[in-house]
Amino acid sequence: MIVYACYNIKGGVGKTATSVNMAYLAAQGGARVLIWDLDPQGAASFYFRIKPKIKGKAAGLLDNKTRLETYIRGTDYDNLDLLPADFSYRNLDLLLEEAGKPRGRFKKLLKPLAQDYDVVVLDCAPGISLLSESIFNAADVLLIPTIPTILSLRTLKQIISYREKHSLKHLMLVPFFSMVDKRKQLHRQIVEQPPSLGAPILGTYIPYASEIERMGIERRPVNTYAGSCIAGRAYIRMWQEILRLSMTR
Amino acid sequence: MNKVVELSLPQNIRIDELGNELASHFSLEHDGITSVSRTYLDSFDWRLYRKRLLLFAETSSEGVRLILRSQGQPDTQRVLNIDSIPVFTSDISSFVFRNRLEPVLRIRALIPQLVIQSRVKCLLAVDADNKTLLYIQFENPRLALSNGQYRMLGKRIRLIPVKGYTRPAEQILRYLKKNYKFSLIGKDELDQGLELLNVEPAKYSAKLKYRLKPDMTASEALRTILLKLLEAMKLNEPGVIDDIDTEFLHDFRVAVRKTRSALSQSRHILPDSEVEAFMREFGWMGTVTGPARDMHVYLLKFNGYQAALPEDIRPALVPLREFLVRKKGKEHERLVKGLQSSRYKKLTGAWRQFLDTPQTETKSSAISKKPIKELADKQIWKVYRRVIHEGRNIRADSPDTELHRLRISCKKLRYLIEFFEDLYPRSRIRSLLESLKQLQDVLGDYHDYYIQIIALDHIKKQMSDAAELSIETGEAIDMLMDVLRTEQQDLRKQFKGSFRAFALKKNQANIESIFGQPGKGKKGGKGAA
Ligand SMILES: Nc1ncnc2c1ncn2[C@@H]1O[C@H](COP(=O)(O)OP(=O)(O)OP(=O)(O)O)[C@@H](O)[C@H]1O
Ligand SMILES: [Mg+2]
Repeated sequence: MIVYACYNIKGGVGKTATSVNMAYLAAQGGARVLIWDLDPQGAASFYFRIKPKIKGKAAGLLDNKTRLETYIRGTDYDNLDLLPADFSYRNLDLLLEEAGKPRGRFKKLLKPLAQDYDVVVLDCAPGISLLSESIFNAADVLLIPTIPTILSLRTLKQIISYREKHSLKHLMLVPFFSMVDKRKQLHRQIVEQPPSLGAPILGTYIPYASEIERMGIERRPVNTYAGSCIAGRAYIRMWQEILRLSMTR
Repeated sequence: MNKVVELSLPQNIRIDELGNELASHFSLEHDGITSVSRTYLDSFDWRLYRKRLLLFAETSSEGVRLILRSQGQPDTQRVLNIDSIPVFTSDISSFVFRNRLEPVLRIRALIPQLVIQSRVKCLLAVDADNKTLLYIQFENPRLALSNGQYRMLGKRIRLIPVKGYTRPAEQILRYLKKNYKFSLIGKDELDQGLELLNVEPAKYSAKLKYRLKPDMTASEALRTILLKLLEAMKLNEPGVIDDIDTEFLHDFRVAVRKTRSALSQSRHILPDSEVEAFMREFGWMGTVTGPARDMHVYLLKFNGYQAALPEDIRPALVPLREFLVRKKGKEHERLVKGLQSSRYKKLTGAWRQFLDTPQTETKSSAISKKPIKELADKQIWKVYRRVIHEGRNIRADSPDTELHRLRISCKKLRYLIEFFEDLYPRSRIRSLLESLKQLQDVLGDYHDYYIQIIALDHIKKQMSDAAELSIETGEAIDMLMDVLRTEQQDLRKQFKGSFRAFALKKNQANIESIFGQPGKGKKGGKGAA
């Protein structure tokens, strides 16, 4: 089982769009995939038409009594299940602290899933907190969607040095450009000549595309209704690139 | 209820009517009717089935889906959309599928073991967000027979709840229970089909299965073994001819070799004059099948050959592969001709008749009437001691011919033990077999290197004669031969250790107590060991 966390300190950069589409493509590749919607806003759950609610709320997740598996819902797609969000996830930080050993917690929670799933995708909420730390410890690969702007690059640098400082050697950082608008000169410049940041940026980028915005109306992964559009093809290429990279980990 | 439930429906129930009834009662959505055919795939020797795995390709107008799951567990399956039904694991694009199948199937091909055809009527339970909660399938599947006819499996309804949504399935099940008579199927479709066909899966195995009893006469026991070997040849013959995968020819050749080995040790047990003629003919079988097998071996090793060379040299080896593939084609043709020749038909016909005719015994000596256990003890002990003796005399500078001789003796011993393993308690011969296998691996690999180096040199000449050898390819082959020579020398160093492990004093004592007491157990040897 390989755990991908889709993460950025910044909000609205395409984390959920990436998680949903990557999870779908991974499942299409024959892997059994679980996507965990960790954002109390429940956007990923919404895209799969699954109620963002779990019995017992966030506290129930950490009480050691109920198996994680019991919260899992099947999606409408082969090989792809979802662990829904719950509004109470906004308190996960506190709850982790209370439950003790917060940093190793997620790894422990995920462990029993290895029997049933080949791939886990964590759709993280923005921000940096105890929860993110626990996720960094549980994940094998950190996918970091980055909008090609100066400020976003600065944030990316922060994440890279955070990894260094906290000696998270196991964690592979995979930043890539997201919501790229080629009409903008700055976007073009940064994508064509990315500054060196200490972690190589993926060759594939995700363009700004109305088909992706439409996911909110369609409530489906983009490749199910617009697989051959530019953005759909970009996701396919990106997933293949990520797969190759993470296999050579 | 989080599990798939399959119920068999009484034959008089009309699927359409029941479907409409459920649809209106539970406001279900109609999701159309699809014609599908499900092809259950496994290797000739049912490797997946033995590992409790189930693999099938579901073909419909929408394409082909490959489905992999554990037997009896329809809830967690892996699904992959594919273009065509795969033959080898390497044909499957999905890394996850390959990872699961490759360790089980290895080099064996997938063959269609069973084909089910069906029209699936599908209903869906969806919620207000149009999210599917339950799939309901109605089917009246039929099993396609090889003669173009069919057998019906029986009408059925299948409830497939989406993980985490149990209620709709529970409600419908309750309704069905109240209004209809049905029974739970609770068995994989593959097993239902095999039962109908009266096929016992996993029956064929490269390992021979028969029952020997210690008081069988030698001739009786030998015939039993030899018949089983003939059966193995016959079972593998079609796969050899169709070149489905390389294991058919491999198993076929092992059966031929074992037959020869058994014949060579059956003097005075079976009539000598006939034995001699059959020996000659099975020797011929060996030469008919040998060259094709050699090509199989080199092609199987080809990836390893490439990997043994520096990366920039590897492409230069590709012409060798192409040459081998073409040569394999020619050798295969020759092999097929051999297997379809009247000489082969005459041989197998006469052989079967010979084995089926017990009265020939009267022609031979009293040995043939001795209990097999006594002879087996004696023969195994004799060959075992030969192995020990030959192995002890091998020094670091002994010529290859001595290792070769020891290899042959080990093989003889291995076959003997396998022939007669029924006669001995498994626990007692296990460690002997294991240390023997290890020794054989070293000797076999050593010999393989020797053969490969000679063969590569030979093939290089052939390519050169056919003006198909570039300088780069010639150099790559030379380099490969050097690598093989080095590996061969390394292996030679391992010989001493593995022989010592085989010939440990305490093992020898153990072997002697199992086989080494001729005279004891003469009367049927029932109490022996
Ligand atoms: N490549 C794209 N082109 C156009 N719109 C996009 C693209 N990627 C995402 N969007 C849209 O931008 C918005 C934010 O995207 P998304 O929810 O994926 O980001 P996020 O990083 O998960 O946000 P949050 O931090 O709120 O969780 C959504 O409305 C989405 O439809
Ligand atoms: Mg999000």
